[in-house]
Amino acid sequence: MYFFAIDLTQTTIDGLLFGSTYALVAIGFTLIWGLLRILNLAHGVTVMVGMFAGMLSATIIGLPFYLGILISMCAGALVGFLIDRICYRPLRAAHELVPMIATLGFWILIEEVFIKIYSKFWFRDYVPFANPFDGAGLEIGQIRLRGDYLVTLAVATLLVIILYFLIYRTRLGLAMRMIAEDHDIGSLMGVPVGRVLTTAFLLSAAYGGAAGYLLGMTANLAGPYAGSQAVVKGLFSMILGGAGSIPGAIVGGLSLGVLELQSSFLFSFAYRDAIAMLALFLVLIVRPQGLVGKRTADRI
Amino acid sequence: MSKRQKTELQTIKLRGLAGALAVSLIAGSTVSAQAFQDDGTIILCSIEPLSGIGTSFGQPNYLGKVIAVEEINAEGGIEIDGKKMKIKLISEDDQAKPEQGVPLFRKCAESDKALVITGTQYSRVTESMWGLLQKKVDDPNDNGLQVPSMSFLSMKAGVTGVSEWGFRNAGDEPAQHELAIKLMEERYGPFKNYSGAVEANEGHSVAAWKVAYLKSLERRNIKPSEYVEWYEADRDFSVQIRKLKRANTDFFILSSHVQANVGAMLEAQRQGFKPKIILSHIGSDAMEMVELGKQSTEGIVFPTAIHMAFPPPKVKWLADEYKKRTKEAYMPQFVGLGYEGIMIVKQAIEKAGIKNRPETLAADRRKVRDQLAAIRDYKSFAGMTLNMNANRDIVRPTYLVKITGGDFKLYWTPDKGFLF
Amino acid sequence: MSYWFTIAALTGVNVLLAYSVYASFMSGQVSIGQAAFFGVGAYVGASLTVLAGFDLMSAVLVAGIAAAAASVFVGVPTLRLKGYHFTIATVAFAEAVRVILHNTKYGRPRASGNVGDQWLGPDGATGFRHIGYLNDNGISTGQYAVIVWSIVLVVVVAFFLVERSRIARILRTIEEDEVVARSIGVPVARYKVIAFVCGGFIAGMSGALYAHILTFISGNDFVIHLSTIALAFVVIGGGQTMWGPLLGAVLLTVIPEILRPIREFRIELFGLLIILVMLFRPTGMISAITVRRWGSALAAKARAKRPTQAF
Repeated sequence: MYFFAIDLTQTTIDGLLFGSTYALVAIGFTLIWGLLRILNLAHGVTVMVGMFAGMLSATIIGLPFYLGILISMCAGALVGFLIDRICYRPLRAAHELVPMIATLGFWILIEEVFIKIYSKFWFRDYVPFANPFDGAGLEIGQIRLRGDYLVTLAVATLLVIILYFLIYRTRLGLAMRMIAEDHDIGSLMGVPVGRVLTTAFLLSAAYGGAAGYLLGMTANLAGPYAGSQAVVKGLFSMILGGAGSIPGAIVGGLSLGVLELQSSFLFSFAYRDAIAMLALFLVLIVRPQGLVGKRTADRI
Repeated sequence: MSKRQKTELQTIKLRGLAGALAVSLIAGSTVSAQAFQDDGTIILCSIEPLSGIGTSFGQPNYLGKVIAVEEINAEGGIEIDGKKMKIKLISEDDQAKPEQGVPLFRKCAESDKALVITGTQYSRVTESMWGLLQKKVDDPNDNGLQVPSMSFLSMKAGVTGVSEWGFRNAGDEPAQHELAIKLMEERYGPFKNYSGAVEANEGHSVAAWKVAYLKSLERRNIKPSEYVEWYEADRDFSVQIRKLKRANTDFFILSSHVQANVGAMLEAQRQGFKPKIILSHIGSDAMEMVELGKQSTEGIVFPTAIHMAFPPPKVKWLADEYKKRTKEAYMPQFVGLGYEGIMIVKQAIEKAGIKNRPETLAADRRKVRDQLAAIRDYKSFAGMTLNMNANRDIVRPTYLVKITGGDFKLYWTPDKGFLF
Repeated sequence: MSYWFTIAALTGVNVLLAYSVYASFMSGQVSIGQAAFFGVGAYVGASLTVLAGFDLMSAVLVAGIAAAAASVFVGVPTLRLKGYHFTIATVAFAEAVRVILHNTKYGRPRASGNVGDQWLGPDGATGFRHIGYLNDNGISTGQYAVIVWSIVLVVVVAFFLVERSRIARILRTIEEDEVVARSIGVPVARYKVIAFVCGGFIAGMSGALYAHILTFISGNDFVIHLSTIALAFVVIGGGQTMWGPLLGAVLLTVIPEILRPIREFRIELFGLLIILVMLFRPTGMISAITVRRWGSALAAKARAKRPTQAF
């Protein structure tokens, strides 16, 4: 019983910390969703590119952590720029599904090209990712907090604060919020919609790049498929918390982390994903706007 | 341009497109058949996961085959009817996806007219492909394909049960692990708590647990103290490792593949979980284990079929050849299995006394199949003697490898026992 | 030839899958969860031929009904979800179904199996082996392709008729604006559920046909990626008319096969193709306008021909 109580607490804390990586992926998703109502299926590509940029800077060159994250964010943003120019901008007038399918094509194309390049350099499925915080950690009584998870949480928190500042304290943020309400009103009010949306893509992808770095670091490895694998979880986190809402992405990510670890601790691992998905399904039916999302005004 | 003209133009365009499509379809299906008739080559098909999730063993296995075919062709080929014929290896990539593998298998069997299909190596795909084969030889009510197929891996237990035309050069996994557990118990036993961790989304790992490890434990009247599962792409193993640690596991069975193994063992290191023995399977045979897992994977033991430290010079030669092509210092067993597999097929073809003419294809395939089924005392390049058993699995001696000092060291051999 | 017959059968399966998306797509319910019904259909269909001795056609039909029943569990609770919330709910449901299928075990022991092969029916993560109906009953790949495509033909004709009926107009009205539809007295809920359940039925049949091509299935075959590609068939082919899903599924299945000779880069080309189609034909390859134009051209031709035939 004693061990059970400790393990229960430990699992919850691990889940929260672990969930912060999900939350970071979800933030990138939710930015684009909130503004454009597009499911950016190519988000995994930015995560993957961020992960490899991070791997190059951390493992091969040996740059310090904070520089590596910045490089990953820039690399991710570059991909975001491409996604905007190829999959979104030319298709602004089309049905919302059209850019989504275009991002599917982009995802398939870039991932395959990347794998070709990758396999020219490494005859491996996975390459090592230097993790300077591995082994470090905090001990509070019987509870242990993993160092690299704490760093992930700290970075995630910092990035969210920056994002909040951008959205609520700058003209860019004002424009974004206006566009999120209604594209037409935005352009009527003289907001340069195209430019603002490009910035949003860059921002979303930069966050994806940072997520890629942290995902690689906490797993100590980088692989060409890791982006796609992580992105599904990010997507679910976003929906669980409330699509389009930034607090939603965070709450969703953390809850998914806890839900996953707890269901394999308390119930059965075999049904871990089924439990998570049924929870998600129920949340959607009962609260379509997600755990913390705002209810969109009904038209009647 | 009037509307009428425009639509006519469209129809012409459309017809042109359809014509081009038809031409390319026909061209695609006849080219290989012509090649067969022209130049008296022996057609072998190779289906491998050359891209996608199976690349880590598909590529090395394919390279092993290529090295073997090049060597055979350099010596003039295989002797058929008193004449040397070269091998043509048609390579296809199934991406470890069954919906790719199934049509490819048909293509190899019917359009390419392959004498033998080698592959594929990913059990999930192999099972679907072999489901196309005739279940029992000489069953007139079964119109399944009749072409011998040999997988050089597909470790999942029971795969060859699908068809009598399917063979495997992978080793008998239940026997391998039974032996490994016995040896460990003799040397380090007795153990109090046996626990297992299984990669639950991967058929081979699940089957290995059910058919090999669990059966071995049942024979000893042991119930696993703890049993945990994870998925290949999981990123956090803290819950599972804690459970294993709480169970005071001293004999840890790790039925899982590289990515999860690395993550789990790193977590074990963090939590200070250090069982006396860690027994794993072929999924641990990749450089990532030591490059990524570093200290944490030290001490993992797994059975191997062919290890580069085997004494015959040919093994060293193969490892060098592999290194030349990939710059890899360590040769995983998949390369050797691919090379050896082609050599086994070669001998079966030589012994079968085939004609290798288009009209004798069905009879030739049957003869080769029977030769494969009858393999006895085959001398492998790696020094051991191989036999085909009734389940169409090649029975081979088990060797154990242990991860020590950041390298895969040969640990136990049948003739010398423990090496360290 | 049987290689191309297999491709033809797989193409037929994909066409059905595309129509299963299209059925609810018409009423504005975009599903990325058809893999669930496809999977249920595959498991039920294969179980019926392997374990219960059904013939193929009834197995396919019952599989369709089972999948339709499963789709009620999505269709009804999600009725009040709008747009993307609905889509996401289908994704979540499909993932849950995948995990459940992955852990399902039923059937009976096999007397004469090798080690590790002593179970007939789905065996949890080990998968579902010995779906050998085609070989056992001497059905060649050509015959099977004909069977698959006759079902496809029935479905296509059904859609052709629906598209020309009042039902299609009602569904399109619901897609355009549910409020308007309700205000003119359309029972929106009923139409939406029926459309979605029809989609489930078609996906179920498609899954059963697929299982018999593959001969071995496992829960993990039915992942999100499959559902996404199914939606891509519709969007790329064109979601405005019933010809879109047909064209999209055929092209996206056949093109990667034709590209096989350049196998190194065919997946890249596939991705590129998707982007290009979306860029240059955002309405899909066949839009409503194309169909109307071709339709009137055909009609004009027919009109032009009629007098000559009369003479």
